[in-house]
Amino acid sequence: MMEKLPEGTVIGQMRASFDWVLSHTARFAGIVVVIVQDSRGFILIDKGKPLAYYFRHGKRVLKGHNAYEYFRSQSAILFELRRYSPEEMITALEIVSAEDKKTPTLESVFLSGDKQGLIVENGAADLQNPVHAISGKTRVAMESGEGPDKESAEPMAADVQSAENLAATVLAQMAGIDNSLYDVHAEDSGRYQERPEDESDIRSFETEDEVVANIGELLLGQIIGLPGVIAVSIFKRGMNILSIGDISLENLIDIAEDLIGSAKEVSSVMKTGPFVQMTLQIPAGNVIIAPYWDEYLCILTRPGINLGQIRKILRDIPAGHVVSQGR
Amino acid sequence: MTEHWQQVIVTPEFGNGQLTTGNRIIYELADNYSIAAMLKDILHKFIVIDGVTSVHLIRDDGEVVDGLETGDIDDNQLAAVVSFVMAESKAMALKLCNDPLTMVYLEFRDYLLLSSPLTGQLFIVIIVKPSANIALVMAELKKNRDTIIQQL
Repeated sequence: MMEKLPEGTVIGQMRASFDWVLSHTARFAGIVVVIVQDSRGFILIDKGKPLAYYFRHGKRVLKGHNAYEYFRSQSAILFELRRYSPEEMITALEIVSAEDKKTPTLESVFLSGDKQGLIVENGAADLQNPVHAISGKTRVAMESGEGPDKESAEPMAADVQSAENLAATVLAQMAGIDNSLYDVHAEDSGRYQERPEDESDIRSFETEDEVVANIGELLLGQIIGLPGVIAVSIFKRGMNILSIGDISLENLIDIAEDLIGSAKEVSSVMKTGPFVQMTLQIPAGNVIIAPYWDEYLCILTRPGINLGQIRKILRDIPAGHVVSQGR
Repeated sequence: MTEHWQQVIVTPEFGNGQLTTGNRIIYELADNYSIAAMLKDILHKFIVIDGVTSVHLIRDDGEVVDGLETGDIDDNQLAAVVSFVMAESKAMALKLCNDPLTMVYLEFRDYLLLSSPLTGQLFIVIIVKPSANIALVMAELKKNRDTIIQQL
């Protein structure tokens, strides 16, 4: 199935825990290609909502809950972010939906039997946690990894219909059309009734620039996009969580941790207030270390880069951090 | 008890304004007071810049060579912690590209700490408020770097 999906725009390859991926793709729309050893899979994400999980290892295919559990079981996964345009996202959704119809024995978010979950206001609750939206029978059938048995055949048929429902809802959400314009409840067959009362009510797709800006929410994309930035890494407790760029910063992390420790000591001794950021200037470039939520950023730049731009981006992070702590 | 005297040939060395053999000072080019006074004069150029709260010359081992401050700063404690930062920064520079460290900016909410190696074992640490004109401080450092090194 992966071969059929749109290529998208490659943003970068990273390594991080599965939970981290989900929590840091709040406004990302595209596909996260997951690579575990020589096997590949993907997570289709639309603005923080995981729409489908898929993983293939040899002849064995995991979807939905199984793939989700498998990704979660990995302490850190290598993955590649590929941004999708709205059109590409629609194509991807159609492919995933069509694939589910072909192979209904395989569990997928689209084969959810929990219809109530699909028609909640934003549809987000279940989309974000599709694992819980899967019916017990379906799950049992999926875990067998083989063809449909007699018991599960009927729920499967219903699930396929609900898959159409969900796909339609998701497509509608992507198009920015308010949920109220659709009556997903109207028919059990899963066909929605479109009620476009006024054309002006229907919002258009986001522009390409807006989509790029959304990806910038990942911050790393924002920083790596600046001219002169060579590599960016996120690390915590001596572990490289995620990195983008031409150079691996993994071997610098231990020293960076020590530097942060020393900086904090300076802060406590000199009563300078909390640590904001550190820049090391060397003839070959600059190394910038700064707190990033509960983690730290390490940025490697060429000499002569506009440090003001990076500092401006970094300055916004502590504000977010304070807000998150206050919640 | 008879004392045995042995002839030892020593080669005097000149450095830091002193003629020395081993650890004994034979002759000082200028008296310590005037050297210290000249150094203070240079450091004074930094401290008068608006927003600069302290300027210190610190050795790698954490010893304070000289310094001036406007507020109540424990310079020994400062030297101890900043020498760690500098040692680690140098290690990172070496690991990254085998290059010497040029400058370290350590930014905190209320203060910015600028540190730059002057010689192999000595660095200058300037603490400024966020409102200070960093460019002015850097220009002053560039202008006086060689003079400071000569004085040391």
